[in-house]
Amino acid sequence: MSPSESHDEISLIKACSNGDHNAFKKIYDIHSGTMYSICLRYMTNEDEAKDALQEGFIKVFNSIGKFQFTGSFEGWMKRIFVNTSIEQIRKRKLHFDVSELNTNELPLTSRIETGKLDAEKMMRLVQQLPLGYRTVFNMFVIDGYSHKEISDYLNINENTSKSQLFKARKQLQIWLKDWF
Amino acid sequence: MPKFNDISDFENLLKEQMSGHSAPPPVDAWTAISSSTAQAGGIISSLSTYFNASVTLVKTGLIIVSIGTISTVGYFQTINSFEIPQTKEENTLSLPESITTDSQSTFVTIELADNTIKSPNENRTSRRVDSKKTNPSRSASVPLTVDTSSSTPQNYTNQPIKTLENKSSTPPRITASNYNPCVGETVVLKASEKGDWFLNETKVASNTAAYNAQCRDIGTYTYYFKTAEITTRTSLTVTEFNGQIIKTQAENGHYSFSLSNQNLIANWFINNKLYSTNAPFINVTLETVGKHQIKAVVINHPCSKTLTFDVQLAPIGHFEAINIFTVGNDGLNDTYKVNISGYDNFSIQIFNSNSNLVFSTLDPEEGWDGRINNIGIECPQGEYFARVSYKLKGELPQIKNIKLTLLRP
Repeated sequence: MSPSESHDEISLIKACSNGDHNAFKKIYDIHSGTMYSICLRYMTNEDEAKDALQEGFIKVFNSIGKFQFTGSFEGWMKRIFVNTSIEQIRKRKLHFDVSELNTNELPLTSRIETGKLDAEKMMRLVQQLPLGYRTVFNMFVIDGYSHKEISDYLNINENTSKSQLFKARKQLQIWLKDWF
Repeated sequence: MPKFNDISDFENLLKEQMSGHSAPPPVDAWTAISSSTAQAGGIISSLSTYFNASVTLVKTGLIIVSIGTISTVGYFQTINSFEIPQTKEENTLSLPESITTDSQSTFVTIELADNTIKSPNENRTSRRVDSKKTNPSRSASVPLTVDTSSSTPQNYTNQPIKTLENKSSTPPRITASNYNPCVGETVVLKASEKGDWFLNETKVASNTAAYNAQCRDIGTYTYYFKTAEITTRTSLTVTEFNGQIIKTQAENGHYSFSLSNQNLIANWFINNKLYSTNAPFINVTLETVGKHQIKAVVINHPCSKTLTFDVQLAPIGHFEAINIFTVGNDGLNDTYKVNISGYDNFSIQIFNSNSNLVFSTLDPEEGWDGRINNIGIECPQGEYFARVSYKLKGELPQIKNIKLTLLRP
């Protein structure tokens, strides 16, 4: 980000924390795509992702005054959206699948289409993991949470978090077997 | 096609793809955000107008005032707290003039740090404070008037004050075999202990740790599980699949099929052969005359369903032959030809009764005038055989043997 852009961002954030609704709309326009992508990754469908997106932005607006300008604003926002998504998952009583791995081929795998394994296909693959696997996989692998943090957030045992990640990786390996 | 050495290669690629990945959000998302954010946050001033903190105590003790919000995970998060030693039996708390809050749901909680009082709930009070509320109504007196003189404090001496945090982690876990069932499904609700089950107000089962919930209609159903100590609940959202295949377009044998709900995706089959996977619609060229079955196995709906659509392709081509022809210029069947239209291939060969070829052509417009190859000697009156090979568009090739009679005037 160039200095002027970053200057713009700082003034936007400041305007926003003073309750300027237009500034908030600008922040929404800039960041909503990236944040929606995060919500889609965590949630099961577009409706749920939309709910998480809305709730996340309301939280951003409510707590933007707390932003300290110490780290990246986008990183700070991402954290809010991950938390919001997790909160929604918790509301729906996340239960961890203890069943066997599904050794069947992915019925709708992007593999059939071969070609490039692009962001959408990869995202779809992650979305198809069972809820427990997916949540831990998303948090640990993509959003860089530690098992300790995951266990705190999801109110689960640290070992559960590790085993969910292990199973998620196993499942992905099965689905992606032609790519190895 | 890239190859992964192990799963971390995939993960790195995924991480790279996801960083900064952007998906267009639903168009109406902003409207909801905009309306909810218009009023939140701000400074709550004159706290005492929201919270009449006049406290009457029979017993003296330490009073803790906490100001906080209900956090994202449902815990009470203290923003600020201060302790006030309460030495006199009746006193007024001096609350701060204002506090800054970033939430619509700010709670001010006053609790006694004295855990010898009758019930843990009685020494704690919370009130939601709406920030930016212009004309707050004066709250009722904080019900911290606790009479401990008649209680038996020793029973409770060591019992800690229950906090919200403790509460939210204690309910027995209830799980459902499926939180998003379909109509007609039976969902098994399980609790970690025995208790009574209620659907809304109606008791549906007693003293059992499991209940089979029949999902008959669409809707959201809240089941309550009650034991002597605690009530907890879970909600099931019963859905039904509604959708069908729609033929959106058809011209020159090119068809487009889609699903009636745009959010659905399916694996598509044509005449039971896999045609496309993971697609909201397909474009197909159908050529063969007859019935074609389009099948979509919907994969992103909890009540996943197989849909079919039949396409009947009408014949394009036409074939007709007569079996008599008279030579002469009487204007009626002067040359022999068959009627064919909408064809891919055509040939006709005509043989006499000795199986000698007397005429052949690939052009159906070219008729036989009764002479050998239309130039030689005239063939005699009698029986001839025409062998016609043709393929009409969208149909299988055919060979027809036609016995024809040549008549001369």
